Amino acid sequence: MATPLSEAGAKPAALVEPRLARLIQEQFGFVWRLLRRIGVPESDADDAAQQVFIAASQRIGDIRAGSERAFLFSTALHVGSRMRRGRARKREDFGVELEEQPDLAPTVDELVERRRAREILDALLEEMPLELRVVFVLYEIEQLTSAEIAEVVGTPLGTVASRLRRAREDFSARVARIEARRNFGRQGQ
Amino acid sequence: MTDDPTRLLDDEGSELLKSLISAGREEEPHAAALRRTLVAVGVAGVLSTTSAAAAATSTATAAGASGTPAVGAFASGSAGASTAATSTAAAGAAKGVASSTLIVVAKWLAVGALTGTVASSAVYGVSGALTPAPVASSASPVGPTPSDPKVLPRQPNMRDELREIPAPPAVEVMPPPPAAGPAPAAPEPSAERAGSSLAAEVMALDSARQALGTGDAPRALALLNGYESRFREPRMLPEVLYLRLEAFTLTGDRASAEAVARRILLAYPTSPHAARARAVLGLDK
Repeated sequence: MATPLSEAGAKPAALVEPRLARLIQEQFGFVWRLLRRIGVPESDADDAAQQVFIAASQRIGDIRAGSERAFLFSTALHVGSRMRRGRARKREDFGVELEEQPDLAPTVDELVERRRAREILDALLEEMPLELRVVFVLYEIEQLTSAEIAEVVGTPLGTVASRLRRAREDFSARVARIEARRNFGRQGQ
Repeated sequence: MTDDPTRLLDDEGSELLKSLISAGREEEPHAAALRRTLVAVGVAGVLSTTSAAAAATSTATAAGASGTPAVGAFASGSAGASTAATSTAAAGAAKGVASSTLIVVAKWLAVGALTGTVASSAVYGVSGALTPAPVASSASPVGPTPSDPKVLPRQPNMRDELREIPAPPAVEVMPPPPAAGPAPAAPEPSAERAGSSLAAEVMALDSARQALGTGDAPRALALLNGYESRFREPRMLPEVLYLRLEAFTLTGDRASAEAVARRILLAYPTSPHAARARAVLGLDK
């Protein structure tokens, strides 16, 4: 566990630097949303994000300028997976099996409620392999370019493009199935 | 350079698909979470003094203005600007001159528009009954940077919380802290009234945080003692406890650190500080 100040030992002031403050301020939302989309429940997301940045504070001297997001990304994946392993994966925390939950098919009115939409989004992402999910999240939600994703993830650009294509197909197909069920439900009423 | 495909949200997809993507993009952490992380990492003081200095600078030329110049100054994000701003603030704080009033006022006027962090400390624990202050809608310093406009495209929750910033109160400026001593100032009756002393609370904690940041744990503890005696109903108690925890850890007073850690876990078991408390108690394996 991190000890941001005490471990700094004789030079805690080294932690008090504008670069770290700016890094947190600029990237906190990115890290927090990434953690959420890889399955960290909202109740734990603040904690997890804090752990990521505490880790960054302890390594700030080793993080090259321009590589901050790559560091935060890999750290967030690590923290997120550890947090998920540490807790029982309750259905209410990590989404649901879509095939078993026909009531997941939302009406348009329900989608006004963003929370509901996010639950469905996370349920869909949960069923996607992690390597596809992170590329999908970084591209479609965080709106990074493929080149930026390749740099952050540390994967060749061609691999990113391939994963992104598969992820988009997978996601679109799942959404289409939800819509089909919704339409079917309406017809049956 | 490759040709990236059109993003699903911009493509001819279904309404449901777009709603899901949109919901994901719009989710934001609370400003308080950002603030707590800045505190936990130990840079909240740096940020607030930087912002205060920038705000003071802009306020000096355009008091009561929208804060746009200051926003631009911060958004530039240059190390030079930050350093200069920090040193300016540090100089002002060290002197404890009357301009500290200006800094505090500027903090409440413009820091919210600048960073959302000091402002968030106002939001933190505030009931929301206070009058919202005008905030430049374009000021989203935690949002996109000029060099990377796509990373954080929207920060609606942050902005929403910023709208809850109280109007600049009749600011009570905390006197410059003594080099050593139990309390930075004698209790003021007016300072204990709810809603009237938030700026003073923030300033008091900033001072303690800065002392801790420079490794002066005894002074930080003295300032925290002063804070608790001065504000009978503190609204930032979790941060006070966290700072105490770090200060005791820094001084090697393990028994006191563990006592504070237990208090944090008892009172705020789900707070971000709880993780640190568990670590101090050795409960996180």
